[in-house]
Amino acid sequence: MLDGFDESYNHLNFLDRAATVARQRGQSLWRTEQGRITSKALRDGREVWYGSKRINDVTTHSGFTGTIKTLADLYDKQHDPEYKDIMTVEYEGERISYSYLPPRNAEELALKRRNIELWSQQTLGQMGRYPDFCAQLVVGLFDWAHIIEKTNPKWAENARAYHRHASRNDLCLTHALTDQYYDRTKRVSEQEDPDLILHIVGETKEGAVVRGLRTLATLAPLSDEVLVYPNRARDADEADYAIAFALPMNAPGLKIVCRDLYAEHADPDRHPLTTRFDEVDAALIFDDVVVPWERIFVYKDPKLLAGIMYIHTWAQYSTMLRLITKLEGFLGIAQLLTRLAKRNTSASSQILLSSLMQDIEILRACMQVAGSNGYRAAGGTWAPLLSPAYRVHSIEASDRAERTMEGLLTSTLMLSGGASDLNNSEIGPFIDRYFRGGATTTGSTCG
Amino acid sequence: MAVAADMVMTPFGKRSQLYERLQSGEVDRMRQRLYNQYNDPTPAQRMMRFVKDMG
Repeated sequence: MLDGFDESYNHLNFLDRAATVARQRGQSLWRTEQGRITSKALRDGREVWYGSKRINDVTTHSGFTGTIKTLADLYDKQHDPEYKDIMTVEYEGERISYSYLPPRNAEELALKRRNIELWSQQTLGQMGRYPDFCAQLVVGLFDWAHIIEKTNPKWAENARAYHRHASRNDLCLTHALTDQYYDRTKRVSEQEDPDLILHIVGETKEGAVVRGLRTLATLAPLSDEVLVYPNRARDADEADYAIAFALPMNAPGLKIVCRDLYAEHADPDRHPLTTRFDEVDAALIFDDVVVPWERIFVYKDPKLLAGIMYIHTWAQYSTMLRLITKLEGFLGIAQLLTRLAKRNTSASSQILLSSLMQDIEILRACMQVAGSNGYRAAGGTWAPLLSPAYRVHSIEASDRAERTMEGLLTSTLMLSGGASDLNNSEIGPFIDRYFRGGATTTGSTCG
Repeated sequence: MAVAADMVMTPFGKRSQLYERLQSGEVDRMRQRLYNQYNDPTPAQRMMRFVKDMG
């Protein structure tokens, strides 16, 4: 039980006023106070679109409520005495999430790893864009500031200030890096429609004006802010396309266009992961959005921007650790189901299960090496030593795991009949009898 | 079974797999980066010595 937590309190029924207050203070809409999540503050005027309709309140839409609860529970855990010291740390006089801590040595990197593993385990590794990931990007930005400094000290201070802002307010972020729909035979600056790719179209006293499309902003409908920069280099004469910045999700002119909301009509009994962990991807349309000057980290500088992917160093570490947890989830469910069906005694099942075990063990060893061979990055932050080989192997392992699950569980994966059918008095008894497999109750097989 | 099916069969599961594959960019680019970063000359040197010693 959390300190001061009122059991009757429903975090989805917080006052709308919280959004205004949070915005005025520059706080996270997910900021917790005494264990109470202010997710209702996501009603902040953000322009979320789905199926030709605008969603005015993501907190009550069934496409989001399950994931909101998952995230709310995780943020609440930061106040739980059992988890507080695992998830948060004192840094420059403030209590911040370990996700935002720029580690100063190997010990602090190990403590960050413990926090990453907690977030991963709580989401079964199924949320690639859990808030830890983008927080680690801001750690990277903080370290990269020493490079920015050589070009423009003001931008470097913007980067450091953004780390202060994001960490102290525990912001939930997304990022948008990809130029998606354009003529690949032409250069960025030579598209028939120059607005197809996000670019600078003007300047005001308050900031730069940007226009165009940028994807793939996973979790954007539920995030506080978005980090925007391109994942492909710009040529020297493409300065208007060379910008890196951060922006609140309710910035005027920013349109968030959602992909299918898998959880919208999903039955939690039949789609237990979908209804808890769907981190909706979105395309962002910037319709003459003003980016405040103090939120710009690179401006019209293709040469500097070419190095920005460096900031992914710590986020990649987070991704690798999360993926191990995800593979452990595959292994765990495969072990349970093969045991129930008594398939675990067959050589073919054991060989398939061992391939999952093999990949998990190899990736654990990679992460052990990444941590123990850590180094002090040029900006002074302690960094894991990650080889591209580790990441390539993890992707191959993920693909292998999917095929392994199919090989192990075969046609039973094409689920017909589920836990929710048990509730019907007419069909329920039949489901209970015929879907039991090796389990003592049908519920444990179907669920 | 619902958990297993949601891991690999549903739109959620399929999207999750694709996300893992593309989250860090195209995997072949990563393979190229690995090739370009790999700077251990030892294997080739050892084999060169062996070939020379073969006479």
